[in-house]
Amino acid sequence: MDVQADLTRIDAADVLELRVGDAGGGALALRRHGQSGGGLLTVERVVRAGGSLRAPLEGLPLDDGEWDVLWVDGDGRTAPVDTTDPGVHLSDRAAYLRRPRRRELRAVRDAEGRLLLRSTTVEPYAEVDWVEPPSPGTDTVGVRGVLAYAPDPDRAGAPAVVARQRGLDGVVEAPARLDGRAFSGSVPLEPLAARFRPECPHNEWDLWLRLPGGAELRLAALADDIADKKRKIVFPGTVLEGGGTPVRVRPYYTVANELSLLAVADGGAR
Amino acid sequence: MKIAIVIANAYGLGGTVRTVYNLAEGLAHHHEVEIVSLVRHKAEPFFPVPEGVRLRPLHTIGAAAGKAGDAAGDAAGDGERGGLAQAWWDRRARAVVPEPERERNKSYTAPAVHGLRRYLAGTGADVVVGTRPGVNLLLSAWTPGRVLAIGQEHINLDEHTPEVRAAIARRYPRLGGMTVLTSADRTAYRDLLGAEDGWLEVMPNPLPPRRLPRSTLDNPIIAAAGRLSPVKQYPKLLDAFSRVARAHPEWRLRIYGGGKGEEKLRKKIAEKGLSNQVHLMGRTKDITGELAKASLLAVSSRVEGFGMTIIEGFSVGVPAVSFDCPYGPREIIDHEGDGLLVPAQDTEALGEALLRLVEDREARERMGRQALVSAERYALDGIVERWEAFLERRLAESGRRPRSHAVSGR
Repeated sequence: MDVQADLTRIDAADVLELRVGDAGGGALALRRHGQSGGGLLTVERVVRAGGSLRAPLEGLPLDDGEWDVLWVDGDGRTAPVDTTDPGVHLSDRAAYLRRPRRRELRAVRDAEGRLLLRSTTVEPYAEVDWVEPPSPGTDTVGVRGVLAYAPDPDRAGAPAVVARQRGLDGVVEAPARLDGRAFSGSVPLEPLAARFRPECPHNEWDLWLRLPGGAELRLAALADDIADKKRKIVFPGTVLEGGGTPVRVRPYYTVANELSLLAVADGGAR
Repeated sequence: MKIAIVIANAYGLGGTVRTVYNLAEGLAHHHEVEIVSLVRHKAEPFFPVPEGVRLRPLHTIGAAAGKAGDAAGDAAGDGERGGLAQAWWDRRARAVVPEPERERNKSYTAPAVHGLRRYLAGTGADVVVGTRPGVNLLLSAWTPGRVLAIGQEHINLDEHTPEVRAAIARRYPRLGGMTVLTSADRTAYRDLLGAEDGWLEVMPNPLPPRRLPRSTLDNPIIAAAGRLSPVKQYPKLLDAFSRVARAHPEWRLRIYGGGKGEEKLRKKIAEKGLSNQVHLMGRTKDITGELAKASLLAVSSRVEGFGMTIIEGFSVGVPAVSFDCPYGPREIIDHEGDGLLVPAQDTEALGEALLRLVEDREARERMGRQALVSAERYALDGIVERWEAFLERRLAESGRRPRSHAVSGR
C-alpha cells in the first residue's frame, strides 16, 4: 500500500516530518532517484508521534541529487511515499539557514505526487532578504539579509560590503552592519561608475559580505524555491556620470541566484 | 458513439487545446474519440494525446512540412492544377469564415479546409464538435445530414467582432446544437440566435482527474496566472498588491504566464518599487503544483471567458480574490464561501480583500476547504456525463441514432 503524506517538512536539525495518519508497521528508506532496485538506505531511529513520523536524516550519506523516499512494509516490500504537500514552507527557512552545515536537504513533490529529497552541497553565504535599488537622486544600492550556514560571527572587528569587478581588478568597499546574524549595508555606485571600462559592454560587480576576521560570503538569494531568479526578479537602475560617459547601474541576480551589479554605458546594451 | 472533435491546431499549448484534450480523455472511456486538427506545425503535440484518442492532422505546415517547403509550397508542388484547386478552396473557405477570424487564427489554409470537407464527407462519426467560430461555421456549412454537428464556444459572444457575430447569427442555427462556458454567455447567444434551451447548453471546462497537491496555506505567497496581455490587467493587480506589500513586506506576488507584455510589466514592477516582492515566474507545465505553494489566488482581469485558473486554484485548496468582471468569476466563486468578489475595476477594493485574507488565516483556511468542495463541480467524470446526456438528446431530437461502436481496450 502506498503511504500518503499531507505534510512533509524538514526542520533545522534535518529531521523529516511526515504526517501520514496511520501508516501501519514499516520503515522508511531512501534510494537514489532513477534507480529501480537495490541500494536501499534505511533511515534508523524513526519516531512515531500521533499521526506523524519523524525521521532523522542528519549524518546519512546522501550524495548531491534527488532521492526517492520509500516505505518498507513488514514483508520487506517497498512502495513510494506520496505527498500532497508541495514541500515549500518558507517560514521554516530562517531557522534552517541559521545552522552551520555543508549539506542542505529539501523535501520536494514531483509532478506525479512522489516525495523526493533533494540533497545539495552548500557553503556559507549571505542570504539576501531585501535589495534597496537606487532611487532617483541617490547613488547607493542597499542590501540586507542573514548569514546562512555560517557559524556566528566574531563581535570584534568591522564587517564590510565588497564589490569586485568580474574579470577585472576593480574593488569597492563600504562599511556594513552586523546585528547578531543579520547584516545590512550600502554599496556606493559612484566609484563603480568611475571605474567603468567601456571596452567591456557589460561591467559586472559581484557582491560579498566580509565578516570580522576576514571571511567573505557571497550575497545570494537561495532560501526559497525559485530556481532561476535572473529573469523573474527585476530591479530598476540609475544613471551616473562615469569617467566622461553616463553609466547605468542596476542590481540583478545571476544565473546562480547570486546578487551582482551591472554597469553599462547608458543607451547601450542592457 | 463515435465523436470527432475538430480543433484549429491540436499541436500547440493554448487553453482550448488543453481543455479539448481533457474532454477527449473523458469521452474516450465509453466512446470512440478522434481529434481532428486543421493544421499541424510540429511533429509531436505539446500535450500528450490522451490514451485511446486518435489524432488526425489535415495539413502539415511550417518546419514540420519538411524540406519540401512551407504551407505555400504544398500546392506549388502539385503544379498549376494544384494551384487552381488551392485558390478554389481558399475562396470557398473565405465565403464561410469571416476575415477577422482568419486573421486571429491562421489555421484555415486551403489544404486544411479541403481536408476538412473531405473528412466530413467520408467520416463514420456520429457527432462532430467544433471548438472555435471558424470551425463551427465550416461545420454548419459542410457537415452531412447523417452527422450531428455541435459548435463549442470558448470565447464570449461580446468578444467577437461584428463580422464574426453576423456570421454566427446567419449560420449557427444550422448546427445541431451548441455549448458555451457560462450562463452569461448562454443568455447572450439565446438573444442572438433565439435558440431553444435544449439546443444551447452550458458546459464548463473540466478538471481532469490527477493526483493533485494541496496547499498548506502557510506560505506568504499570492499567485496570479494567465498570459501577460492587457486583458489580464496586471498593472491593476500590482496596485492592489501594493497594499499588502506595504503592510506585510514578507508577502510575495508570483505571476505565472508568458507573452508580449513581459517587458512592460517588468518596467511597471520596478517603477512601483515592488522589485523584491513581485516575481515574474514565466510559463509552467505544472500549474497546480505551483498554485499549491500559494495561499491566495488573485484575478484582476477585464473579462474572464471562464476562469480555468480559479478552478485549478480551487482544486488545490487555494481560495480566490477576484474582480466581479464578466463572465466566469461570478459563476465560479461563491463570495465569502470559497473566495471574495470585489467590484470590477475597483483596485482599492481588490487590495482591501487581499489584505483581509492575508491577515485572516482562519478565513483563508475555511475558504480553502470550501474551494476543494467547489472544485468537484468541475470534475471530468461529471462533465463527461453532462456531455453524453446532451449529445444523446440532440441525436434523438434530430432523429439521428448513434450506431454502436466497439471501443478498443476498455
